[in-house]
This record gives sequence, structure tokens and C-alpha cells, in this order.
Amino acid sequence: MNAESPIWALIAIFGLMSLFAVGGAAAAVPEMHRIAVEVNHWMTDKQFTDAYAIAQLSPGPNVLIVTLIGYAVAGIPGALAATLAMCLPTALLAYYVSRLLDRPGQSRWPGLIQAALVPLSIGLMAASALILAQSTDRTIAALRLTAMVALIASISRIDPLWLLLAGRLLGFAGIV
Amino acid sequence: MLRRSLAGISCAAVGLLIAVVFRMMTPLLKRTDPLALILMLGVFLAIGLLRLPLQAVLLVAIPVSIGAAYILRRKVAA
Repeated sequence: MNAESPIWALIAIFGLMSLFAVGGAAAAVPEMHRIAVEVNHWMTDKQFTDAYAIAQLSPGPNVLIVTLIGYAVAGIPGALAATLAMCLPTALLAYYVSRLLDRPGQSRWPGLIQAALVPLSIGLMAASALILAQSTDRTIAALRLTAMVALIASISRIDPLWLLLAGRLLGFAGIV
Repeated sequence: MLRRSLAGISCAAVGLLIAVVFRMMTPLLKRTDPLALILMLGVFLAIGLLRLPLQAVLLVAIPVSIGAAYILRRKVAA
């Protein structure tokens, strides 16, 4: 494996990104899109949104999109490298920070930091929605479906899987 | 066939994400904390529209947000 191997690029990029993914994988989508589509041209816009859709549809954590990006770049080794790079540093950080915060006299910091990060992660997730919508909702019908799902999911407690299934059926029928 | 199905799933997945964002935003809007709203909007614009790198944006936004939350809390406590 030489220094130009995409595996190392995957590890470096996602390892760093994992430490900045305030609000989880959904908040890191804009950065993943920027790196995978715009900077490195690892995937097309369409492939990226497909990867997001597959990650949403599959059971398991949403961070699965990283696995799919890694796979697109360098097959199975790429998938493994990207997933580990995305999960390991952040898990270690969480472990050490939580130990640090368990010390007496530190009790107000967790709440403070959390309160400070919430608006940032909402902003990031809104940016994710914008970027994904720009490549997904290219037709009026697609835009309508997105709006309907957003509305239904906001006002009801329906299982999101049903809405994804409805989207799938409408897509299959050629409506969107 | 898979192509078309995935297109529909993508649309729905984006809709779900929008719903989550709204659900998370509601308590923030109710609290009417202007600085939190400005930070939220600023991050959205910097990342979503200007497409700036995540690290650069957060290296500015995180200290500002933590500092603001700290000052706000001291004010409330005082």
C-alpha cells in the first residue's frame, strides 16, 4: 500500500471529520458531500444521495453512509477503513471526556457544552437537508413528495420506515 | 427499477430529515435566545450555501457558542 492509496485519504479525512461531526452523521453530510463529490470526485451527486437513502433505509446507525462512501472509493477495504476512521476517534474522545467530566466539581460543564452545541448541530442538519434536497428534488413531483413526508413526519408519530416505503413505491411507480 | 425506487426513497429520506430539523428547532424558537438562533442560521448559511469546510466553521462557531452560553448562564445565576 503506497502513500497515495485512497485508503489513507479515507482514514485521514473521516478520522478528522468524526471529531467535528457535532450532531452525528446527519450533521456531517454537507462535509461528506463536499469532500466526496466536490473536492475528490469519488462519487456523483446522484450516487451520494443514493448512499444517503440506503443508509437511512438500512437498519443500524446512519453513519453507514460513510461505509458506502468508503466502498465506492476502495471496495471492501475502503468501507472498513472509512467506518473505523469515522467511529474510533470519536468513541475514544467520548470515553475520555466522560471520564474527565465524572470528576467532582465539573458538573455544570456537560450541560453548558451541550446547550452550546445544540444550535450548531441543528444548523448543520438543516444544511444537510438543503444539500440533499438540491440533488434529489429536481422535479415538482419529487419536491412534493419531500414536502408531504416532512409534513406527515412533523405532525404524526408514524414510523419513518412507512414513509420511506411509500417513497419507494411512488418511485417504483415512476411518479417521482 | 432499483434506480427509480431509490429516487423515491431519497425524496422521502430528505423529507424525514427536514421533519427532524423542525422538531429540534421548535424548543429553540420558543426560548427566543437570539444568539442561539444567529449561530444556527450562521452555521446553516456557511455550510449549506457558502459550502465552507466544516472544521473552519466549527473552530469559530464552537468557542463563540460555548462562550455565549457561559456568559448567559452567569447572568442568569447572578
